[in-house]
Amino acid sequence: MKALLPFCSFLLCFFSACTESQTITFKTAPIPLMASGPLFEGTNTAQGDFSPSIADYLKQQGLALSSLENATLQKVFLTLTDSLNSDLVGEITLQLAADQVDMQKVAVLNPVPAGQTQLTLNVAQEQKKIADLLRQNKMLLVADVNLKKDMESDWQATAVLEFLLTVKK
Amino acid sequence: MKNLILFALFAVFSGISNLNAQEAGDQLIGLWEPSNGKARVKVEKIANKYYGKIVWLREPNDPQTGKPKLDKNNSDESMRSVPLKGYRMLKDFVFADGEWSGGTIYDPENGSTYSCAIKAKDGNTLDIRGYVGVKALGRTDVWKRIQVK
Repeated sequence: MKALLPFCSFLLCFFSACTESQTITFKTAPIPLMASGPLFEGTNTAQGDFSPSIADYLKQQGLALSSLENATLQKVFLTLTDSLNSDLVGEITLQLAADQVDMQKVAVLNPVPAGQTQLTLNVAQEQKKIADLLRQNKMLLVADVNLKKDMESDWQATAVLEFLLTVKK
Repeated sequence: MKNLILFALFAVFSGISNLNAQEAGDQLIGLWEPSNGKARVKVEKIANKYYGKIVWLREPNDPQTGKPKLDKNNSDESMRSVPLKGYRMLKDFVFADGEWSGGTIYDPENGSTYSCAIKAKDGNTLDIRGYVGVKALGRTDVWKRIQVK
């Protein structure tokens, strides 16, 4: 029995080494974000939600949802509806959350360059439970938008998120 | 017929108690000040959870830079440019059994996140208990509601 133990350990290591992983990119469609006006100077909350449908995406790649091992957020692109929106914004911080997954800060842009409508946010190096978020039916995007002045109208933008998925082959 | 009436009464009663629980939970929504008076935190509800962010700082600028304070103690270097004004320091609280729990509180002065439970002493006073691991080994701070005129 004792002699069997090293052999079993060897087999376990051998088969786990045989299970190779690969990485694929998953990019969302533009997700609308909105904070309803009138808005006041200081921090305001803009929200949006989307269904990651990660199972469908993996199926298209010939993979099962169970093959998803890990995920990291690689890029966050924000498009503002007009340049006025960016002129009024000091900073933007983006968080992701879901019913069953705690909120986490994933990206920031400080300062927001004036007059630009296409923004690329700086993504957090430390990320947790991104794969869990993608497995949810609905993911919530929460943007904290720091306004330099009061704003009569709504603040609107769209966000595109790019994830790097690690999947078992 | 009797069963139907009993069922209807049960449905109405449970609907009312759910509504009351929701109303009780929403007591947390508003503007609060910790006992040290250094900041004010606005609590809002997103989906079914409660979150609080810093909306006012007694000393908004960093004395070393003269610029707005940033989250310079964050363990993630890439997030140190996040401004403290607007920072979500209370996250993911759920209301059940008379308290808000399951959430965390972030201390920007040392960059640490603690488990946290919140109890309302009355409509305008909160006991905010931060702890690591065991609730009994934590520290409680009293927060007062700020009335917005």
